[in-house]
Amino acid sequence: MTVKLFLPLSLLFLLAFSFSVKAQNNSTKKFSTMKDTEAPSFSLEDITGKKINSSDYRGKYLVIHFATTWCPFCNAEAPNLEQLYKDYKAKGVEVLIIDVKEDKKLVSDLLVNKFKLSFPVLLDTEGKVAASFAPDDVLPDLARDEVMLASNLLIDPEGKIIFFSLLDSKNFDAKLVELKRLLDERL
Amino acid sequence: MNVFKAILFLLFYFPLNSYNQLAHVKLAETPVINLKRGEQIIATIKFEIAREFHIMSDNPGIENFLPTTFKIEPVKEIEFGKIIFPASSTFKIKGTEEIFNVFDSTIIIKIPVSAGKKVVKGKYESKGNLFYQACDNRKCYFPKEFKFPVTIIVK
Repeated sequence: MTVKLFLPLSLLFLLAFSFSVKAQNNSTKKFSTMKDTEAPSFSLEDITGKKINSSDYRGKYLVIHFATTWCPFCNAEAPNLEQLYKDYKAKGVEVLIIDVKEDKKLVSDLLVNKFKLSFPVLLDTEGKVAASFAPDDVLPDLARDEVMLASNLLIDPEGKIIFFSLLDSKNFDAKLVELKRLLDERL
Repeated sequence: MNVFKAILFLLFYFPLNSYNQLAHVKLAETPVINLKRGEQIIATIKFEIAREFHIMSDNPGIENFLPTTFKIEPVKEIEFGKIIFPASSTFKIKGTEEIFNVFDSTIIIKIPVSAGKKVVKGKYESKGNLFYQACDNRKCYFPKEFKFPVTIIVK
């Protein structure tokens, strides 16, 4: 490669590198637009077969966690979600887990019974509800339902998303510290 | 290096490389197993796990978690033994007490392979299938199957 090619190739290198950085930052940028938007509506069965609609929770704060039984982060959060539910229920806060693409028995055994969950656990057997919550431009190479695994959301009494922990946390917040801080501010 | 190729490389390498992080596991090299008729060897297949990701080990240590498995498609007159996985490392999620076993960085799995004495010399094609479930330090991903060709050359 000759010396006279060095400058144009260096410029191309910088250009390519800037594209790379931009691609990596897209998720963070898009995330901020999810807050204060209307939460998608859904209707799913819980593990007892009862139909649960998102509209049932209007007028209350609703915490949603997307989970699977094999997800270590979801397992780590499960007892803390149960504790949050017990601590905040009297203040008008409801909690739901939406399990993604797993069967009823598995979810019943390895999530509900294992962690003695007293709040509803819904079955999103096709992953469509999880996908409806996933921002379009976050991890575009992934299936939309996959993007939501281990995410936490807080929906306010008017149905707006006011907390959305998706790829923005530097560290996993198993004890739900940020979520509880926001609830304490609002209640 | 051809200038045109250099320009193409620079334009596409970095953007593609950033998205390739989503492919959690790849082969370090295309597996080719060489052995003689009547011989038994321990073949190795080396995988690279993307930086900042880990996959569950073959024995995660927690009931719910999905172990990594490896299968190789049978080939007539060639026998594959029980897969030997490497030692795992441990992973602990911040703020929890649960510790589980994972693979990260590079893993080499070992496969006992034996060729019958009457097998015809030549090249045979098989398929490997690594089943794994990956996570990073923030979230987990649906389990995946990584299928790839394995060439066996009997001399």
